[in-house]
Amino acid sequence: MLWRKRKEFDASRTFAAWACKFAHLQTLSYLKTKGRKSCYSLNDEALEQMAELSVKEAEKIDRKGEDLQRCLKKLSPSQRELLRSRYQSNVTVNEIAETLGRTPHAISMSLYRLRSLLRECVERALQPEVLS
Amino acid sequence: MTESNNLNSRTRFLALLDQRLSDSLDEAEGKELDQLLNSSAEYRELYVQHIWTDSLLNWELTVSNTISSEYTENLHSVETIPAITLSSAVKINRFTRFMQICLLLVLLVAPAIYWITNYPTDNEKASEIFVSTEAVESSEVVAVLLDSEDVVWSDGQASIEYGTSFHRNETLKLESGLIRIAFDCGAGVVLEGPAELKLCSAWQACLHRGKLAAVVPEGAEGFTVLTPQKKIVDLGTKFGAAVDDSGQANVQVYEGEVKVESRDEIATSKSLLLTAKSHSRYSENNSQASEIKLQGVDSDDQISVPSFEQLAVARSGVYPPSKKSLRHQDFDYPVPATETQAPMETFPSSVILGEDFYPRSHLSRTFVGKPNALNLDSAFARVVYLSEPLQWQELNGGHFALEMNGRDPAYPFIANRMHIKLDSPINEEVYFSFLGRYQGLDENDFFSLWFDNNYGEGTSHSMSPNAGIRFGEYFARMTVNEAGYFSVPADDVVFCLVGHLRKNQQEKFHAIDLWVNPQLASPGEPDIHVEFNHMHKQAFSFVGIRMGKDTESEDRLLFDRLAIARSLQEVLTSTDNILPDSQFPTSNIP
Repeated sequence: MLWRKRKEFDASRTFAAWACKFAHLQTLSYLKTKGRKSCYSLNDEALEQMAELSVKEAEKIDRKGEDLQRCLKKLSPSQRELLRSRYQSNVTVNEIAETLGRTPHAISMSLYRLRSLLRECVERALQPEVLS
Repeated sequence: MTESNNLNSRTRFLALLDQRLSDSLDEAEGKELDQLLNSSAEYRELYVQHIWTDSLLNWELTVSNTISSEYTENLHSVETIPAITLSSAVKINRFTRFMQICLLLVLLVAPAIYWITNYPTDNEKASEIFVSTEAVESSEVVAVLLDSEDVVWSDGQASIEYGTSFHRNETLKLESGLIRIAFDCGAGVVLEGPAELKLCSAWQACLHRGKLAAVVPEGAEGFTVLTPQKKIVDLGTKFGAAVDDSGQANVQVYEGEVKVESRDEIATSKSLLLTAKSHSRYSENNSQASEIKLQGVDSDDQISVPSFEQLAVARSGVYPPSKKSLRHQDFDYPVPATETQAPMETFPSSVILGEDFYPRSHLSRTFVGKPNALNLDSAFARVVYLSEPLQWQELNGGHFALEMNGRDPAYPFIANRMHIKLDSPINEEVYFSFLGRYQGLDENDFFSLWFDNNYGEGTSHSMSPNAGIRFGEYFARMTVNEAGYFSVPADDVVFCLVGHLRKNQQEKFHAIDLWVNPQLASPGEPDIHVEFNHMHKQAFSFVGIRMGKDTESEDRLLFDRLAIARSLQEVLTSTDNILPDSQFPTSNIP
């Protein structure tokens, strides 16, 4: 439904927020009726909170892409290479771990920390706009 | 829930989150993850944050390919040499992966919006797919820089950081020196300048000029070197190739086999098989094929290709294995409280440099002289406490010394461990002395104290004065080609080296003398005297220590009491030990 109506809106933040809310409701409905019967076992409280959080994320998505690019450039070459392996070259965590002689958990933690680092960097970059 | 349970639960949550992101969660694990999400608002927040960040990274790195774009500015135009293109399977795989991520986001509440709001209309869709595919191809990473030795890049190119990625069709031009690179297919190449090498693909190196040697591990068979007229296909081996100024090639196989073919389509049926055992060399101009050597500095290995350990690390996408961290001794090294009362060695106040590696010694009121900026590669060098100080006759190194390890084969070949920027440059004749003890000494080990005017991770300082141990003997040299040797050092035995840097009438350094384990009271004539009248250096601003490429990471060089002064007497004078201040500061670092 959203896809059919997409041309009625430009890709503004307002649209993103609206669309997100729409998807939120649709997805809740979907999960409640079908998802839970199959493999999903999230309770209503969890779904509700995650949906709300996702809407907030979506509202900032336009700016985040640009800021992420800037933040990526602040990483060290080795950090960039790890991200490149994982996301660009499609190397699995297990393969990276095997090559480096480290545990998959250690690699997962490195990726977790890098995502957290990038997220903090992006959030910091967004802050002035929020405050103004 | 106990603290321990919390910790375990969090660890498990992060592991499941990672599996979710890599799309490897089975149904039971999916339910386990859901239960954890049901149990904690914090997990839910983390979950959403990482799903979004992961999706954004997928978008930026896979589809828009932003991280690579900064490297594409200097790409050279595509030549006619056929290159292996990105396979359609890979393209589809990348696109599919992105689609999977989008689908995942839909299922995980709402983020489908990111895809939807950015998704083009049908016409836009077709053009975007075309553009993004082109972007992936032109910025495809095909190789990574492993290390270099005294490299001078053409066109005034500044130094390139190790681990830098090179892209398809990028051309590397060297005036002199060596570089080692790892191709994405797994092959390793050492290139010696002057040379020009185009990185035609992850499987193909196009050598326009100069010489290279390649090592092709299992799995990378088929790696090819193209010269202007020839195609050298590896069949699992180590081989060298050289192209002269006329574009004609020489090939030599060191191990295994290679196939040499003409690039002329009419002549493609003619191919020549070279093997290390029988027909190992080929010359395109039918002359006697000369031996192809690519030797690293101070190494007895004549074909200095990347190590398998380097290639393995490079394949992981994280090279070098860890970042060098330089430290200033005086502020960063902890002093165990019980050891601060160890005697501190002193030097005559007139010395140019007196370094006994006593941590933060200049903070003591009894310190004489100026503190030096001591920089260590902290992964392989550190100040240690020795219960038994290094001692040669009356010269005592004190309880603190510098400990340095040999080279880890996964790391770059040049292993500079320490350097000191002198407070003021040495611009007159000087004497120097130091104490050492090498544990794990083999006949191909190398270490030296060097004097130079710069420092850098790929700088061997082999064209400046050096003194130390090289291939089983003490040595001193003005350059790598002007060296003298004396006596045979023993493993794990204290030695004392005393040197003299001499100047000629033009005020340029032209000679080095070395005394090996001299009688301090009457050193006599030096054991080594080397002259080189073409050195133009009039001053030195840095001293440092480098370990050799063939040393082992378990090797341990203890180094102490480095003195540089204007007279022999000053560097040989034994001064009183003193106890540091009772108020000597201890470190907060645990």
